[in-house]
Amino acid sequence: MNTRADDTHRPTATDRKRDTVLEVCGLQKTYGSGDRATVAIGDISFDVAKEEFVCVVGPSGCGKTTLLKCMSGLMTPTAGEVRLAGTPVDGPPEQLALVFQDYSRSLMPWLTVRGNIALPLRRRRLPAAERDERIREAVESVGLSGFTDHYPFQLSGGMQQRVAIARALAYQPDILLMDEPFASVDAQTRADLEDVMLAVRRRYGVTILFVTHDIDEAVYLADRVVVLTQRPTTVHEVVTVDLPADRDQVTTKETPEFTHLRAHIYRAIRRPAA
Amino acid sequence: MNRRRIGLILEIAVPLLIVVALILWSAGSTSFYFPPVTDMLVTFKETWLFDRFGSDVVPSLYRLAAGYAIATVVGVAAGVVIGSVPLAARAAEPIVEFLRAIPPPALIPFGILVLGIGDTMKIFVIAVVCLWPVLLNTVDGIRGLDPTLTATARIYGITGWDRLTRVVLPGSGPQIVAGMRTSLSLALIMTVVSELVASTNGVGYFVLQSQRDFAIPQMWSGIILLGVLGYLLNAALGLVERRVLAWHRHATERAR
Repeated sequence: MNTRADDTHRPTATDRKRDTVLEVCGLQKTYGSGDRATVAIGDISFDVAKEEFVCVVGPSGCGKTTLLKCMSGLMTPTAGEVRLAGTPVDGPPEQLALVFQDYSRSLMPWLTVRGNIALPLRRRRLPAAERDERIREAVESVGLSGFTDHYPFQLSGGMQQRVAIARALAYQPDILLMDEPFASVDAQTRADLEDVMLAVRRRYGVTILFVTHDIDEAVYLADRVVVLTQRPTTVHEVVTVDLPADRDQVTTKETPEFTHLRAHIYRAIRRPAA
Repeated sequence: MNRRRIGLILEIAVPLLIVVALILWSAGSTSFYFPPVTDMLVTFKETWLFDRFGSDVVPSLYRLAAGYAIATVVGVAAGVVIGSVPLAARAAEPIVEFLRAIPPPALIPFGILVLGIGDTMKIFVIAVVCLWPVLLNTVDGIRGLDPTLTATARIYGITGWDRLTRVVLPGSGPQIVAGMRTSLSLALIMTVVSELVASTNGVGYFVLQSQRDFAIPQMWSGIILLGVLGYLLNAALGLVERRVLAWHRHATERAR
């Protein structure tokens, strides 16, 4: 069993030590000031290595969305910084993509699937042939071939989120952030989308930071799980998931290792950090 | 399915029945003010198909189209600025509220004084009146853009002209078109009003002139023509809307 609580809150997993893509260093966020100040994020530090799949879990209201906004440059932290490929983030970086929970409001309803995926590619200034190839591959890898000329309103919720994922993949970011992306789809669709993520991760070798409130989902998907505390939020523990890379919704989830990891994280979240 | 069919039949049949009833009811009319409807229709055909079409309808439509086009372009452009820049909104709002509170026909004397009684004055008056609904709706549309949508644009670096033409304007399209719809009715009203006050041609001028000449069937034919024009203009805008905003219609139907 390889559950490992890291006392320093820093992943020192030398066995998987690779180039660091994203570093979160002493991140703090306080809303308001003076007596009215609310500390949303106490102090968060962790990092994400190249081609790693890291999930962030924590109790409800622990500031996961605030953390994501700070990491994506949509919000400025009160203290500390986020570095993407060594460069401090002060605005949405060009090499970052973000998949929102609310797919129906993140896709442009007036554009087709192709149009939605093509729009962010304009800044890449690709030759038409390469752009079309990227779109084709992204659409195929999320299982939406044959739907490129559909509009979002013609697709189910799960399919719309697939479009948002394809848009992020075609953009080919250094890091893909995902904000509870499957929180508003039904259970079966959710399992399908989780498997889509594992497949595209392998195909694209993309680095993923995935925020979720679902512990099963975190353990099923991740190489490492960052467990957050209640507000003011800090990193409670970073759990390494040493399950085999080939995962299956049924067989992986019935292994003792899986059960143990999910129980461990459940306890960590339920008990406030000492 | 059956209900829809009945609806369609009613939509066509009821207006036809009313016209037929009017024709029958007015058939033997000797009233000077309400001549038989058949007389009006015969006069309509003689006058507008197409004897005076070029001399009166075309000038009216030209003024209406020019004023409306100017109002739409200026209204959307100003609305984009006011809707996107909070300081511009603070500065512009009192002025906008004051200017749009002025009853539009009151501008005509000023227009005649400064611009004469030609097309320029009429286009100016039409444009000023049509500006406000487009402008205010554009501001609303831009302020109402979904925050997730604008965050998506930020994340993917969709900025400047791309952001304006591919995110902001389509996103506020439904409101902009709603404003254009209001403005279109105003445009027709102001076309007629400006032609009643000071003109040498145009449908409004024709109606007034016919009345002064006691050519009552002609006067009525002009009124009917204005109704037909308004109806057709609205229908044309509706067609454009159906095409351009098809996504919006479908998306809202689905949400219901």
